[in-house]
Formats: sequence, C-alpha cells, structure tokens
Amino acid sequence: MHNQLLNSTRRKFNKFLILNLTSLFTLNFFLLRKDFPNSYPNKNQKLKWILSKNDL
Amino acid sequence: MILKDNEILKKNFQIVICGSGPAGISLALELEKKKIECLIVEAGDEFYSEKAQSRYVGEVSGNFPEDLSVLRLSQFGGTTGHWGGTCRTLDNYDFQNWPIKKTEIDPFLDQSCKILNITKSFREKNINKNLKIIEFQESEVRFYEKYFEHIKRSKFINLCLNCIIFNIKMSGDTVTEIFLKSTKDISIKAKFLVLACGGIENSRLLLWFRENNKEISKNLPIGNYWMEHPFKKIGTGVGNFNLIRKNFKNNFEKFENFRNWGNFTVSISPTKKLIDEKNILNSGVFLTLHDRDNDNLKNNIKDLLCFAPNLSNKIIKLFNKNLLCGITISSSWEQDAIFSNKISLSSSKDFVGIPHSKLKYEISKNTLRSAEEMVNQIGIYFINNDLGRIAKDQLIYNKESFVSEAGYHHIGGTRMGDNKNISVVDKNLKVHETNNLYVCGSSTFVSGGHANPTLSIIQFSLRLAKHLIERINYL
Repeated sequence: MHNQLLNSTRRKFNKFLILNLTSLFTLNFFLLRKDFPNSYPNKNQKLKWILSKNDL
Repeated sequence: MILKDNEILKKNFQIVICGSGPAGISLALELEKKKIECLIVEAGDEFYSEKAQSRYVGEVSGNFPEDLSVLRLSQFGGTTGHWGGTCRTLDNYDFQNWPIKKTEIDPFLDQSCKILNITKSFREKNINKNLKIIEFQESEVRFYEKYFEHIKRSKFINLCLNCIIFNIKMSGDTVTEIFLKSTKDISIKAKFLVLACGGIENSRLLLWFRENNKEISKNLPIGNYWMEHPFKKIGTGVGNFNLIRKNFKNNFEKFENFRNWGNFTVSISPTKKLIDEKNILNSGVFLTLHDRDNDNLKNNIKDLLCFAPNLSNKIIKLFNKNLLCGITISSSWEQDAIFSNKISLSSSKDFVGIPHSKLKYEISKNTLRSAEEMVNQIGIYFINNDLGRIAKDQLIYNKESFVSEAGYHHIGGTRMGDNKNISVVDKNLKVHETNNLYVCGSSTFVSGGHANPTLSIIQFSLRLAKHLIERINYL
C-alpha cells in the first residue's frame, strides 16, 4: 500500500516536472526567441517599414 | 510718432491697438492710409529687455515645451524679431468649421505679401489622388527693421513703448476706459480697443479683463480650444536619390533651395479627398534627402534588409553606384480644436499684477493617427513608383504623445464663430456681446491648418481694418 502511494506520488511528480519543463521551454522559445539561432533578427525596434509583398 | 505716457493723455485716439506684432502693425498701417489716428501700446521696449520678457513666463502642463517665455518676443515687432519667415496661405478646406470662407480674406493677400516682401505664389501640384506637393514663400522681414522708422515719422500712428494695458472699464457692452501702466498709471478713452498681442496673450488679457468686468460673459470659452502646430520627425527611409529628385521635380525652385536641411527637400500635403476619406487633419510633411555618409542611413539599410531580404540586390547596387540616399520625414500639422486644451490664469503674477498664463495642452490620438496616415501614404507612393522604402517612427505607430519640437504657432483661445457657447469673437473679430472690443491674431482662428500663421494673421488684420474704417465712417 505504502509503495503504491509512493509510486503514484512519483508519477505525479514526474508528470508535473515534464509539463513544467515543456512549458518553460516553450515560453522561452516565444519570449526569448531572438537568443535562438536562426530566429528573426530585429535589432532596431524603432521603425516599422512600409513594404510590398514582393519585398519579403 | 513715439509718445511718452504724459503725451498720450493730451490726445484722442479713435483706435487703441494692444501689441506691435504683425497683427497690430498691419492694422495700424491700413488705418493710416485712411488718416485714422491710432495708438499702439507696446509692453516691450524698442529692443529685447529681460524685464518685458519676464511677463511671458507661464505654467505649462501636458505635451508642450516648458518655457513659454522663449517662444515669443515682448518688444517692438513682436515675434517677427526671431521668426523663421516661412509663409503659406491656409487651404480652402481649413475653413470648414469657420463662420466665413477663405474667399473673405483672399482680397487681402496681395497687400499681405507686400508687407512681408514675398511673392504671391503658393502653387500646388497633385502627385496622386491623395497627395500634393506645395509651395511656400520665405519672408526676411523683421517688423522692427521695416516699420519702426516709418511709425516714428507717422502722423497717424502713435506708439507708446514700455506701456502695458493693465485693465479696462466697461459700461454696458462698451469699453469706456483703458487703464495703462507706464512710468505712471494713466487712463485713456478710445472708440475701439483691439487686442493684437499674440496667441497666448490675447486669451490671458481677455481672461483678466473678464475677472474685473462682469459685462464680459462668463459663458464665452476664453482661452479654450487652444492649438499649435507640433513639429516632429515622424518617419525615415532609404531611396534612389536620382529617381526621387526626378519624381518630385517641380518648378517651386525657391522652396527647394531655401532650406538647408539636406540635398533636396520637398513639402507634401494631403488632398481634400484624403482628408475627407480618412477623416484626418491637414499636414505639411517635409521630405528631406541626405547623402550616404550618414550612420543613420547605414543602420536603416541594415534594418530594412532584415525585413525585406528581396530588396538586398537592388539596394546594394544603388549603394555601390552612390545613388542610395537617406530620407527624413518631418511634419508640422494641424491639431484638433479641443475644449480642454486651454490658456487660463496662473496664481503667480507679473510685475504689474496681471496673472501669468497657464497652459494645458495634450496631443490628441487623432493628431497622431493623421501623422501615421501621411507616412503610410508616402510609403505607398514610394512603393508604387519604386523610389525606395519608408518607415514609420516608433512614436507614430505606437501613437505615443510627445512634446513638440517647435511650439511657436499659438492658435485658438479666442476663436471666431456665430455660436456664443463655442466661440469668443464674431466673424468681424468683435468679442461677443461687446460693442467695441476686438481681438486680432491667430487666437481667433477656428482651425490652424498646417500653414505657418503669420501671413493669414496679416490678411485678417487688413480685413479688420476695413471693418473698423467702415464703422468709423458710419459713426
């Protein structure tokens, strides 16, 4: 009985850890994507260019 | 002639004009032609004095430069002592909410241009359905240099310097006495009193007169609906120098050359169609080209290429051929007439005891939206004609309020109108419910358009002179 409870708590903890790590990684990707290689470079946030579709 | 305060008492004047700026002097010159004697009361001296200028100190809250005393001059000639001299007439559609049409002041344009020594040429050319390029004139007239000696010798224009209109006495609807402070306190009588002392001082004096005279209606929105022309850099760009020059080529040569901002400057304004369709305010947008030895240009090219990789070949080719130029887009544009933007009286007083001005001024969202629309339109024009690419500055696309870089054009406060609840003067510039109290200057404008106001101020002064001459002849 005691072991079963221990296993269940461990499983819950593992689930919690995996979910947390996943969400943390996802959040990081969206919020800090400029730090990832191949992300969209945007050094100058002060300008908004008026462009045509062919420019992109 | 120049009078001292004890000499004023010996004379009778038909008209007393408060202020010797372009509004007051133009009015006096016109009256002189009809041999009507007037007195100009100037609070300042012949030249700049710290003492006179100290009366222009005021409190500011909101989006306006803090120091009101550096934006105008209290001396003979008024602010023409340090003005930039750029002139243009208001547009027809600026008069939409006025009780008069532009045709009412058009007959005075010739004479106004003569006063300012400028050519009567304010051409415009549509570049598409939404945008037009416009022509300005540049005046080099300083009213002191041009008119001081003339007024000194004039038999009909009297001038009293260092003399302040402190108060008035009203009997019913008529100003019966004018109290002046000079070397001593004196009071004089005149048939008409005209306040022509600037876009802030007109409101300030009228508010002060109302505090002391119950005859001036409390319902009049004196000081309210105050406006200016904010000046701000609103956009940036990169483009083909030769193509842009060719595309905007016009015969407004004088305008192209008189500014030294860059290699080439062109002024762009919205057409009536764009103003109506997008419900925006009128603007004067200055597009200036800069050469390639500019760090900003290099940064802007890098920035543009991040967003528009397909342009890289074209841009590198232009850069290597030395044809790529930087573009700065600045604007001076119209403001909404908002009741809460106002001049009121401060708790501190000047050295004669008149409260200083207190200005509350906020830039509206509509003002920022109008600037954004103009950059959008110019951006689209550049794409369609393959001239380059334009970007909006952050404060414009985020619609952030800002403090104007200029603040020299003071408009509204004693606005013209038929409805006494939303205006202070009637279409003849007479204060509502008074018989002989007039206001002249840009404070009476209902809307400011984008044009620098001095030329229009003079047109209105000449129109007022015609009206006063008719009244005097009738009397």
